[in-house]
Amino acid sequence: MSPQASLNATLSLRNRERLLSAVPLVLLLAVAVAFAAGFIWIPLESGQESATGTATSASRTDDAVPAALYGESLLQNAVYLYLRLAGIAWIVVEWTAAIILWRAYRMLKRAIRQLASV
Amino acid sequence: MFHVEQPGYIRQLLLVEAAGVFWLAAELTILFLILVARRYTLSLPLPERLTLTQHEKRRAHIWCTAILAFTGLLVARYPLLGLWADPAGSLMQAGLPASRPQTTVIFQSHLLVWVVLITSWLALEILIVYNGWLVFRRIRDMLSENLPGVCACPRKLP
Repeated sequence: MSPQASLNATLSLRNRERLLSAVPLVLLLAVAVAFAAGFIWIPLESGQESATGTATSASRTDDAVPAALYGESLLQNAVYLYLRLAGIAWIVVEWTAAIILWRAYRMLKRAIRQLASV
Repeated sequence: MFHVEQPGYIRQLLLVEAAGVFWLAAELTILFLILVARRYTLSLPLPERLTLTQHEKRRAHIWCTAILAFTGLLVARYPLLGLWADPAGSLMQAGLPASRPQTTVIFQSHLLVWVVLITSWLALEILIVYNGWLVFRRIRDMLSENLPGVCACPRKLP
């Protein structure tokens, strides 16, 4: 194999490895988005429309906080939307941490085994 | 979601905010430990014992003070708004008249506090994961030097 072909093979292997290492993250992101897409349509409260629906502050006054507490419903919806998006980002970050911890655990386990066999 | 007529409404707000501050303190503690671990793993040769430097101790004191001050401000705003000095039996029992300006302020400030807490948690969590990843890489490199084959995905490919 020529040096150029060897270099190409090495680069190809490296790219493939990078691609494979990104697969769990992409899957994780897809699951998180799917979860969020379902979650965001769940009504916040019984008898209340979902956050993405046409919920107004007036519809909340029956059995919940009076409308005066909410002020502008547009601002309120924006705040709740931000909180939900932040929650999705949080899930992604936590799962990333879990993957790193799992890899660290496996690495240390292998190291201990190697040390024990020496 | 809280109900205004529910007894203990303000108490619930306080409980939620206290839990949020506790979580914030926990995240800060984790980040502090991660940063100490990173500094430790970067030290060559590795010290036999892990001890905090003066800079780290000072930083820990500063953050403890900041958290206490933040907690004090959160709690103090309730009596400052006169919510606990209500002669009519307080909001915990009678519900909140919508016309009360303090009620609106306390609810909207609770929402604001919640947004601040969520944003802080997220930022701290990202910092924790990033620094934890650096520590993980450092340990992996150290192990790879002494124990070849300990890593499933060696960094140096043929």
